[in-house]
Amino acid sequence: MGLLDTRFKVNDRDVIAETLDGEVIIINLNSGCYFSSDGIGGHVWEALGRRQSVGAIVEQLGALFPDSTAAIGEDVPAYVEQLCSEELILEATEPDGAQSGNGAHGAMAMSYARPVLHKYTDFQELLKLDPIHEVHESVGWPVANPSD
Amino acid sequence: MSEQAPVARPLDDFALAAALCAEEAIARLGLREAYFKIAGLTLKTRFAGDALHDQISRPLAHIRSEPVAEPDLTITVWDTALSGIPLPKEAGPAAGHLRRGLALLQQEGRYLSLFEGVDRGLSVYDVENETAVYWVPDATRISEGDRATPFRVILNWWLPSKNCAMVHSAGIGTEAGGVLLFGLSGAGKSTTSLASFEAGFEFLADDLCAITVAEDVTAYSVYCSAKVYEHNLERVPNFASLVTNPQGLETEKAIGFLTQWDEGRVVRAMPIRAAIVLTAKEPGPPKLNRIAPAMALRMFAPPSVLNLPGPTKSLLGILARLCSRVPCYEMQISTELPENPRALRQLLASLETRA
Repeated sequence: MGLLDTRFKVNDRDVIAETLDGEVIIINLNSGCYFSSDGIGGHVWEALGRRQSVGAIVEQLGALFPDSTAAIGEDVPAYVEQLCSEELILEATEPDGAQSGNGAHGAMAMSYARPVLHKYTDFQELLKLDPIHEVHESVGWPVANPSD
Repeated sequence: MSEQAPVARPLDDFALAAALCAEEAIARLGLREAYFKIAGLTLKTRFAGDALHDQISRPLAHIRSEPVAEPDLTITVWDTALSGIPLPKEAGPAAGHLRRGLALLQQEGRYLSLFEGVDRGLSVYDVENETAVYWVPDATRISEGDRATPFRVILNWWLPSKNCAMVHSAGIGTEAGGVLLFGLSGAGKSTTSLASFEAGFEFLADDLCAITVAEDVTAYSVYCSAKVYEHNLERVPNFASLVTNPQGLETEKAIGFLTQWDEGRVVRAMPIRAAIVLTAKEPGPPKLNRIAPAMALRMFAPPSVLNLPGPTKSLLGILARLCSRVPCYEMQISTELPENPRALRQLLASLETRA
């Protein structure tokens, strides 16, 4: 199955996201990276969350922006691949029963602009785990192994 | 039909063993109970002995409350140095990991567990029963974070079930209402809070507070402590006289309790009129710029969400509602500290006038 036929879902185990005024803020709790995407990017994220296939999203955007169909056909799959490579979305085997409509909403930009995923890495430090020392074999925590 | 093997739940076993250790410590040292109120909810704490209570509960002194028969959350606390009771040695499949002293967050069944390392502590939360066990190796040598903000991990897990959230922000205010100050560690949340307290503001928090967002936004105090880097102490001289750890300042921030400065201005709750992210420090006058809610969420959310480990799905939603409900600003604070409360007082007065 090609990318256009594929449906995705948010990687709920590791990712939280919230959309505000058309801009989605996505935080990968596993890596500490966070992301933002507005305009078409926010729209694509919402549509993916409704388990619409990539092809369906491309088609809807093409209908909304007929002068940009060629760019949409390239940009949206590339954007989805980036979301995948950052482990923000996972392939979904089944469509979501809750999906409805074409997802086009009034807040979307009036002209097409390539969806961009902005990545921020300034909080990765917060997630670094901290080796302390070996503990005493027979006593256990919190007594340190004397050889440590 | 073949019999199905029972599902192994090592964390269940470990949580139970940790709870039994805590009870054993209480049996040795005696039970000391204390009750606290956060956002209208009652937290009951059960300490193994008076000394442990005295070491750990100080930052919560201003939210102490009367005993109730049915608290919303119960935390049982023990340490090894005072009680002689170590943590359970067996910890299921994580034992090897924990033996190496690595921090580990686990979520399994109804339990959440964070082991922060052998020198730090352990938090185990039973989501179903709203009970928790909190362990530190030696209450007389607990980390800076545990001395200033005990139970923060457990509270961060528990409060979202009550439509409340712990956020990584300072909270200060005047009679016109309060502001939340967001920003990275070192952005100036504590020094701005302390300079504002010096200027007559009420104090809610310097780093962590609880918020609820309904029609109105309300912030709740959890800790009356404040922490600043040693090099900033001379800029907040009244606070400098309160520092409780002068011997440890080479390796940790100075910790003080603002109830000792002016108990009447350390408040339990305040209505929030604005949310502000501190972005820079410059010598000139402070600058406040209104920012869009989505931009504010991008700036506020990651420090809060990533500050404390564990499931935080609802926190992002609460922060999004916060950004929609109150005006949001970015603030370049002045290195001339008294300038900052002046600007914040003006902002609060102007927001009150507009309301």
